[in-house]
Amino acid sequence: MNSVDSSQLMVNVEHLNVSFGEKQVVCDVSFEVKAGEIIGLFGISGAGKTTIVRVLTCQIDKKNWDGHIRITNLNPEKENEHAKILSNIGYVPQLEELNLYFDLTPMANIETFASTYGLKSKSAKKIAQELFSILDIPKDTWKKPLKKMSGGEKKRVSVAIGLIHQPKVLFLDEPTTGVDAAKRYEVLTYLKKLNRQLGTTMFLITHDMEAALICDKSAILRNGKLLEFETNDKLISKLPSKGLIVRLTIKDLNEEKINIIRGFVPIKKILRVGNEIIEIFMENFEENLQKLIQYIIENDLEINSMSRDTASFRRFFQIRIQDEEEKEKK
Amino acid sequence: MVNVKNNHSNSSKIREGIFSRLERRIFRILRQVKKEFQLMRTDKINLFIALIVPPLIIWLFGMMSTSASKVVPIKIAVVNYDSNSYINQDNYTIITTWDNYSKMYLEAVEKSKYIDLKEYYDASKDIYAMETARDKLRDGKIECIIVIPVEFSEFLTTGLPGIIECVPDTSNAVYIQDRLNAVEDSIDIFVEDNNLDPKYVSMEYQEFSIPSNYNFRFNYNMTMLFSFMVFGISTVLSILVVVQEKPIPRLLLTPAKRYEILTSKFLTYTIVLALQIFLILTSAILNGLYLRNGLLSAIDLYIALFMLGFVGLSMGIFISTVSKTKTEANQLFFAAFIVILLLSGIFVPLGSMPEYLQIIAYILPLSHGEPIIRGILSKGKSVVGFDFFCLLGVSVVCIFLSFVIIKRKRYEV
Amino acid sequence: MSINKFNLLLIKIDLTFENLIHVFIMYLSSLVSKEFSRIKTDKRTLILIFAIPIILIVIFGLTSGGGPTKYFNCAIISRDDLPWGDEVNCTSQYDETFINIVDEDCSAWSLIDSFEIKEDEEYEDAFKECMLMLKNEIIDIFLVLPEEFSETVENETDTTLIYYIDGSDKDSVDAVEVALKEPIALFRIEIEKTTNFVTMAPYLEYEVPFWETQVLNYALAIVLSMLIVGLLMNLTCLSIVSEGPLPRMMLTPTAKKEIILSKLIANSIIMLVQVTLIFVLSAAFGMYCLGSLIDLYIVLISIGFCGICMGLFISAISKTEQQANQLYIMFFIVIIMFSGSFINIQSLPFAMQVIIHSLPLSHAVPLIISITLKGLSIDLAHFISLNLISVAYLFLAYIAYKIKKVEV
Repeated sequence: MNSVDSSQLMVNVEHLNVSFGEKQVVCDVSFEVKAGEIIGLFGISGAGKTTIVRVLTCQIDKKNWDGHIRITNLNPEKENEHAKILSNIGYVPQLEELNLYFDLTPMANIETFASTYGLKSKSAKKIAQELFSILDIPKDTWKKPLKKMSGGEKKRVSVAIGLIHQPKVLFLDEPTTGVDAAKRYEVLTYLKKLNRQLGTTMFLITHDMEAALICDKSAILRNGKLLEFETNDKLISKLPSKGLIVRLTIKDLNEEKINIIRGFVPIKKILRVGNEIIEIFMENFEENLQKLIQYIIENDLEINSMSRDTASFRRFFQIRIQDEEEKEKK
Repeated sequence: MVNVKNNHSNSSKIREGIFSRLERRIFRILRQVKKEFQLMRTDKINLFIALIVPPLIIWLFGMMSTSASKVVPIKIAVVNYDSNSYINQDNYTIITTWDNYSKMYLEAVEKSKYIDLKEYYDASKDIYAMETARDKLRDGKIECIIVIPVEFSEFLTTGLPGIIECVPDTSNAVYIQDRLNAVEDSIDIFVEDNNLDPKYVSMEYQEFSIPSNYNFRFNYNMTMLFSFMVFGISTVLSILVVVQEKPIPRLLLTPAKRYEILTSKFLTYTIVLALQIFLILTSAILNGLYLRNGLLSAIDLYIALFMLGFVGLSMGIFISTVSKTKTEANQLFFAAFIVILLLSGIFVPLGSMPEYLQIIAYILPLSHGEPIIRGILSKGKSVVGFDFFCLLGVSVVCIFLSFVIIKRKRYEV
Repeated sequence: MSINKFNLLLIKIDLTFENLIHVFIMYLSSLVSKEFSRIKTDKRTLILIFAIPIILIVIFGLTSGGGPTKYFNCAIISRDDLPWGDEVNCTSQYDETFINIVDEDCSAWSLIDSFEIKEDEEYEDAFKECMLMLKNEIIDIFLVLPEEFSETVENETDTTLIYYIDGSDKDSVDAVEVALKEPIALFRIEIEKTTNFVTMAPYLEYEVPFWETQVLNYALAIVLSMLIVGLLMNLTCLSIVSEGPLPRMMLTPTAKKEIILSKLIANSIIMLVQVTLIFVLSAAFGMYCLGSLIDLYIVLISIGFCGICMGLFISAISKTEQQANQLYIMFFIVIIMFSGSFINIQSLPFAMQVIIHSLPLSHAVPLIISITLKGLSIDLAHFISLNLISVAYLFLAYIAYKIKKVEV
């Protein structure tokens, strides 16, 4: 396992603006990432996640962006530092069809990409074997053409290729897209495992809220703006009562009944999460819970079931985006 | 005071730095070449088509050339007017029975190995003889009509020149000369057999010809076919190499440089081209290709064909670099190939084209292919010359443009 | 069954059959329109499809110049001034006449240089110079008039003409004997020594008239057919192999024959446009046609159709686009090499003639020539053969595609 100085700053972005012509794609984004952290970049399509990563990976011309950026202490503004930056980072694109040699074996793919970092075949194979073991890629598939592997296996090979040169920072674009629900958590587990064992700083660009489970910090982007960048706990604690919720199943739930419930003053937010299920956020949760139940009963609403929980990151994301949309409407 | 020790260690560090950078680049390029060969190996059928089929085509062509009989008799009809009366120079109509020469000429026609006499018409008895013969000519049943004019025997007897008229089918330019030669042969036999002195005897010395134990038809046609075959197969080998490689954007997110990727492709396909040319040349030599200066000509020819192939390769990679989709690359290739073929001089002589088209033709590679190959094969010339440098120039331009375009091309993951 | 019920049943069958046809046509037309959409989306390719024929015919049509008979650039070395025989009979009065005739009067000859040798030493230099000109292709032939040239002409004995010719130039070698007759004939007429002289007077039948572009029209048959076959083969050779979603389509009720049919129809429509363009432009650039233009148009369409079928066959048997491209160029080379332009088909053994006749150009070229230069109607034997080749390739394409394993 690599020892990582977690105080070392791996990525520093200050006041990043990206525009293509008249269109501003990223507006005044700033964040810092320490070594060894896993960062999730969340946002709907067009939020600017991929654009930020493209700036960090030297894919966008300087004329299209401004700001102060350091990645592994190198400046992507300077063209002569691009090669060094690319040696220090790894990238795992979304679609395997577009970024792997399907007719070649996983080992042949490894050798090809490893050689670009100056790694000889022998060393590359040794590292690859370690990575394949961590990622549970079966040994009997190492010498078969990639096209004969399952989707999940291809994805893991792609991740291994991204890590072959032991980069300081690894960017993964939608690592769980196209993977079935059962395997999704597995992929995230592998990434966490790699992070712990290798100490690689990771950026996950994703729509999959489950990915937040392994992220040390999450960034939420909307329309090119960075709305939040914090640990998940801190984000959730921003919610009323630090994210405590009561989940109720109301018989024959409809909008009218929801409006009645909304009449209970301490309620800050009601989210309908199912046909008859709502989640309620309110101030002074412990104090007001009993009062809420009483209020509901008094209003002749039948509660079929009730539970209490802490809001998930998904819920926070939903609320945050909604709040932002409402703000924009006003 | 200059610190010599520091300066020395600094410059050696710089030298080391340069060498290690160069080493790394060479290592990356060679590894990319290995990847290209690995990719090629996965498509064995493609390799088979590229390497084995062209020599097979040459072998088949050689077999056809050798088994084609040297003499193909021309189907001829003779229409004889010689028995009729004729009008002499004083405008008097004379009726004669002098037709002995026409009979002798007919014998000569039958003797000629270049003529297959299909029909004989006596026009003195059949007034529609010529029309009938013309109909047969039109329908393709005969290839030429020989007309013995009415005054043939009379003119010869009285010391005037004897004229044999012939009406060959000249709709297909390829066969015109053969038909005229066949008639001329019958006249030569007629003159020889009947001691019609004085004769003008031609003594032929063929310079730069193919020895008689080699097949002239094969050797002559190969001069033309080599160039467009080699150019065609080398271009088609490389037109998709850049446009179909999907992982290039990901490769560019590593220290690999664009020029390294392109260089590796040039290297790989040059090696394949070298092998292709070797196989094609071997097949041609085994099928009876005549090399005037032996091994020297073989080497010169190899270099010439390699150069032609390299131009095709460069153009193919250029097309691949400039195209956005595979279909586009395909269409561009065909457009370029057919224009180059049309302006090569193989089907239409370059001299018949307007000057500006000729200039364009001389910039294009195939117009240099046939002269350079013929010079080597038949005249024992060296490969190095104007045509060679033109081909080299075209390659250099295509390579340069490919590098410029790939440098500017937008790749995004 | 009563008559009414039977009639009802017939009507039902009719309707069902009608429905089936209707559904089939609708279905096929949606497949065809899918083909067009695919082609339409790649605008650069679309432009190329129609621009290529225009560019090619413009280039081809800009050629001009004379006919197919060989023209000789020559040099003459005359040794006639050297002494031969006894002094009394020695003469050199005729060599200059001969040289002037070659220089000024011959239509198939052009005199580049001449040398009159007065001494033996001069001959070697002249010979070397002529040999160098021959090697560098400045001349095609050089003649040597021997010492006894004028003497033999005067005495009316056999006269020898020596010539050195570029043996690698097939056209020159084939044509020289006949071509030499022209200066000899004019010379004999000039010096009034025509006794026992027999010569040939050719009247070229079905030639391209001198007022038309001869080069264009003589080459038209091979170039047009090569162009059309090549173009259409190129259009279709990637149509199956490059269509990514085809395997997925096999998981619907679509049958493989419907796929082939839809591609055939869509590409045939494009072919019609391309062939029409080529036809119109050829006419605009001076295509000479004795026969019916409609017949010629029909022949060109058949050639185009053959190209489509061959292209579909290539696409059906290929696994990758690279393979399809390679096969395409090999087919194209074979079609040209064995078209009959480089080897006389009749000189071949029967088995080889069969191979050549299974390729389109061996039928396309005679078909075009018989219409344009002979004014005949469509030669049924060649026309049927050409269409049979098309059908055969289409059938092979269908079989190959049917057997092909496609997996999603």
